Amino acid sequence: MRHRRAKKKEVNKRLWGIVFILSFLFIVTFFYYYPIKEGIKKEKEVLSQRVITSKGDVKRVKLFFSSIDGETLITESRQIIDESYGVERAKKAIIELIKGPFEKGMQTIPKETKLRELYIDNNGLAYVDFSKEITQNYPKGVWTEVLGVYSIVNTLVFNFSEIKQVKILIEGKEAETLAGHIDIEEPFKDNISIVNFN
Amino acid sequence: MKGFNVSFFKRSFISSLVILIFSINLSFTKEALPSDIQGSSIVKEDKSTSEMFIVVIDPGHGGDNDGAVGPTGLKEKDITLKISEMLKEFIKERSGAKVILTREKDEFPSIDERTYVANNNESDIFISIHTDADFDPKKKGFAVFYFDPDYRNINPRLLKKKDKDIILWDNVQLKFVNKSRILAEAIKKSIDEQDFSENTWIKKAPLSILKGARMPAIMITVGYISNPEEEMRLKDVVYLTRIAEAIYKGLERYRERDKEDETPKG
Repeated sequence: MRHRRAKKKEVNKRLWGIVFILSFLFIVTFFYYYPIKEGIKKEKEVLSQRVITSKGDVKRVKLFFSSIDGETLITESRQIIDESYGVERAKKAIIELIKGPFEKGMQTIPKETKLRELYIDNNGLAYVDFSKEITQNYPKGVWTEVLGVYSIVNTLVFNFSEIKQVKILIEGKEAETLAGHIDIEEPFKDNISIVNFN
Repeated sequence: MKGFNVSFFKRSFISSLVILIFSINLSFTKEALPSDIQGSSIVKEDKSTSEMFIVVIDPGHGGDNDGAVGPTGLKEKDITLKISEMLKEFIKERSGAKVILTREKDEFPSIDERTYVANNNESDIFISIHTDADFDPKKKGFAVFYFDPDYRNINPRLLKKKDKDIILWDNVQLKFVNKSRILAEAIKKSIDEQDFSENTWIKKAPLSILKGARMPAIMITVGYISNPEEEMRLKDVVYLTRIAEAIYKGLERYRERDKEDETPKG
C-alpha cells in the first residue's frame, strides 16, 4: 500500500515536471515569436500605407538644400500631392528641389532650371535631365557644385527605394560638369556624410 | 631586279609590322592617359637627370572659361593665374625647386591635360588654384580640398580579373589620398597664420582634376569672388602676394614633415 502511494507520488512529480517544462517552452516561444509577429503586422501596415500613397494622395519627401552657412546639406520635409506613380513622384521631388527651400537654408540649383525628363532603369540608375540653365546660371563655385550635385542625388536616393544611383544629364546629353570642377559623366551614389540632419 | 623587289617589299612589310606592333604597345602602356591628349605638345621633363623637387601649379580656368565672375566683373581665371605666377616665383627663389605651370597665359587646357602635365613631369606635388563662388553673396572663406575616394560605387568584386590589373584614371589618386590630406592640413595651417579669413576649411570632394594625379594633389580656393568684400580684396596685388607666400610656407611645412617621416628613426 505504502509502496503504491510512493509510486503515485513519483508519477505526479514527473507530471508536474513535464507541465513545468511545457509551460517554460510556451513562455519562451511566446516571447520569441510575439515581437516578430508584431513586426510583420507593422510592416504590413506600412506597406498598405505605401500602397495608398502610391495611388496618389500625399507623400512626404525630404529635400536636401544647402545650410545657411553653405557648409553642409540640410533637409526640409515637403508634401508632394500627385495622382501618379513612382517616377512621376521622383520628378515632383526634383521640381520641388528646384523651387528652393521654404524654411531655412539656401537653394542648390538655379531657380530658372527646368527638369526636362527623369527615368529609372532596371538597375536602379536614375537619369535626371536638366535644362541648360543649371550650368549657365550656376555660381561656378567648387563647394557649391559639390552641394548641388549631392542635393540632387541624395533627394532621389533617400526618398525612392527603387533609385540606387543618379546620373545627371544636361539638355538630354552627358555633360562633363555642372560648374567646372566635378565630373558628372559617371553616376553618383548618395553622400550622407555632408548632411546635417539636426 | 626581281629579287631586289621581293626583298624590298619583304623589308617594308616587316618594318611596317614592327611599327604597327610598337604603336599598339605604346597606346596600351600609356596608363590612364586620355586619348585626346596623347598628341599633346607637352614635353616630358627628364627627372632622372636631376633629382629636383618638382611642383606643378594649375591656375584654374582660362581662355573662354572665365570661371566664377565677381559682382564688379573680376574674373577667376585672372586671379588664379596671378597667384600661380607669384607662387612660382616664391618656390623658385626660396627653395630652388622646379616649378611648372599648367598654363602660362590666358588659354584653357582641358582638365585631363592639366593633370597630365603633373603626371608626365613626375611632379612631387600638384596644386590647383581657384576662387570659390556661391548663390549667397555673403558666403566667404578659404578651403583646401583633397580627393574624396568614396564617392562612387566601385565594388572591386564586380571587376573582371583583367580589369583589376589596370589602374584606372579614376583610381590613380587613391594611393595618395592620405598624403594629399597631410598637404592640405599643412597649407591650411599657413593660411590660418594670416588673417585672410575667419574660416579655412579642409574638405574632401570628387574633383575631376585631382582624381588622375599620381602624387599628393590638392585644390585651394582663395575666397569667394561672389562676395563683394572678398572680390575687392582679390583686386589688391599685395593681398594676392600674401596668399601666394602663405601657400609657399604651407608647402615648406609639408616638405619638412615629409622628410621627417622618411628619415629612419633610432
